[in-house]
Formats: sequence, structure tokens, C-alpha cells
Amino acid sequence: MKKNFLSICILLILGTSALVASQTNLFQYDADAIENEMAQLNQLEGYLTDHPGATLGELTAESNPLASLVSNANGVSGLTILNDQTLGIPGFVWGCCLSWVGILVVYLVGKDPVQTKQAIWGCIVGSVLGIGTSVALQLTGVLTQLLGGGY
Amino acid sequence: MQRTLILFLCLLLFTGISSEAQSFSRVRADFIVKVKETGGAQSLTMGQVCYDRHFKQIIYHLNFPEKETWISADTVMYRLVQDKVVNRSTVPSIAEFTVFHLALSSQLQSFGLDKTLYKPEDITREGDQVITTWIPPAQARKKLGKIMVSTRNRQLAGVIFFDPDEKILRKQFFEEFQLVSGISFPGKIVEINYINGIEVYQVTTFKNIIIDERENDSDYSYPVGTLR
Repeated sequence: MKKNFLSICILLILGTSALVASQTNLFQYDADAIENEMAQLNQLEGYLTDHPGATLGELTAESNPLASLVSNANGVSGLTILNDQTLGIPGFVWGCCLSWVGILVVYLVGKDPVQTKQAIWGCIVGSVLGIGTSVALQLTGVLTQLLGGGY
Repeated sequence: MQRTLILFLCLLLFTGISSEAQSFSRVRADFIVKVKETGGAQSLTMGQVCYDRHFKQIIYHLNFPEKETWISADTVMYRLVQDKVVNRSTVPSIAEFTVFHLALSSQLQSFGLDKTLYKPEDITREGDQVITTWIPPAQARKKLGKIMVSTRNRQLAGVIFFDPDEKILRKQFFEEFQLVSGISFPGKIVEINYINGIEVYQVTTFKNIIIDERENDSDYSYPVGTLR
């Protein structure tokens, strides 16, 4: 009886440790791999640091090979896999945005239908950029339910 | 009695100073956003950003790829070249969703989730890391996934977004925090997006961060009403 109890305790402890360990692992990423992916952009960044004020147009006019590194002529795109500007918001702005979490902040704190509607819009954009259109549409449905069917 | 009074006054004074120190309004920083799809296209945007949480205008002065200014004011995004509007789009209001606003309003540590319908389901500690799993409200669980937030030394370290099937959609890592004028601001945000089987990396860095600058008011509030 005692042995069984001890075994269960050990299993529980091991199970909990494994769970915690796996959670911690989720928050690890291969920084070297990302650095490798960014190598060319880092090269361009280094050049721009040494030549403040240089623009892509100037680099192109000088036939600087670094100009060909960036695929986007106007460079305002962030996630190039998507449209250059989703709903008028340039991609680089999304680097500073924290996605659709804000929508629930607005809903709970503001309880302002107009703001909420705007937040839903923000949610859709954020979802399109980072989550996927179908989830975004589903999310809109959820929020409509949460808001009592309309705004 | 006198000692107690002095102690009490000191306490009041320090409490006042402390609460004053928590009130931040402005941030200015040089930024670089680098985006790379795995084995695909890449882009780099460099410039300076100014934000005042009372005006809620985010003003980006870009140096690269071209010199231009982007202003997010309420629900309009203006694009200016040589002080002339070349594009104007109606956009969602994004100011309060930004790292600037959350940092200035001391909401960054919880990622702003403590003010939402999400509830903390589980909190675990591993070494110096505290991981909180936030779950959406019951009626939304078929549509929304959990969000895991990791903090280290009381600073936001990472956020992972899941879909309802526990599939990871996005990871964000907040690094190289800098203590500027009493506020902790991330110097680097690494983001990994998983879109249709493709990984998209985005690295945003902030340098020369200035908090609560008292001069240059015009840099934080653009008279957008005058723009035509």
C-alpha cells in the first residue's frame, strides 16, 4: 500500500516536472537560425548605420548590390507574404502592435460600441497578419456573440 | 510621537514620488524592423517613432527605404512625403494595441491580458521564468485558443498564441530591456509567425529610447486637421 502511494507520488512529481519542462521549451527558439535568416538584412543595416540617411532609391541609383536585398521597392511592407498594406496599415507598424488582444481590452474597459467595432476591425487585421483569415472570421463571430449580437 | 509623524510624512512623500514615477506619457525611439520569410522575400524599415499616449498619435519618421512620415491618428493613417499627404487610409485605431502604449501604461508585463476576458488558468515557475496560461471565456473557447505568457524578473519575456486546437500561431519574444527614466522598455522584439506552413520572422529593435521628453512637443502631435 505504502509502495503504491510512493509510486503514485513519484509519477505525479515526474509528470508535473515534464509538463513544466515542456512549457519552458515552448519559450525557446533558435536565435542562431533567425540570425542566419537575417544575415543579409543585418549587412544592409550595418551599411545604413555607416551611411545615415541613405535611401533605397540612392542605393539603386548607385547600383549598390545591397539594394537588391530588399524585395519591396517601397519597403513599407512588413509581412511580405501578405499585402503591402492591409487596410491601409503598413506592415512595419505591426512590429510594434500586439495583435488582437486589444480588442478585449476595449470591450471590457471601454464598453463603447464604436470603439469595439473599431477594435474588431483591428482584430481582423491582426488575425489576417498573424493568425489566419478563417480564425479571424470565427473570432468576429465570437465577439458578436459576446457583444450580444450587434454593435 | 514626533518620530512617528516624520516617518508618516516621509512615507507619504515617497508614496507620492513613487506614484508620480509610474505615470509615463511619451516615448521616442529609433527603430528598425526586419522581416524575412523562410527562404523568401525580405524587407527592412528604419526610422524614428514618437508616441504620446494622451494624443494617441503614432508618428513614424522613416529614413529607409525612403524618407517619409507615417502618422496613425485615430482611425486614419496618413503617409506624407516632404510634408505633403500622398496617401490617406481609414484604418482601425491601433495606438492602444502597441508596445508603446502598454509599456507607458505599465501593462506590458501581463501583455494587457489582465484587463481582458481572458483568465489565468495555470501559473508555473521554472527557474527564473514564470509562465501563465490564459484561457478565453467559456463561450469563446471553440474559437479562441489559449495564450501563454512568460515573464522573467517581472518583465515580459515571451507570448505564445494558440488556436483552439492547441496549434501554435505566433510566438513573440521581448528581449534586451532597457531601463530608461524608470520605465522598462524592450530593446528587441522577435516574432515568429506560422502562416500556412511558412515561418515568417520579424525582428524589431529599438534604440536611443527617450521617455517623457519635455521638449519637441510638435514631434508628438501632428496637426492632422490641417492635412489636405
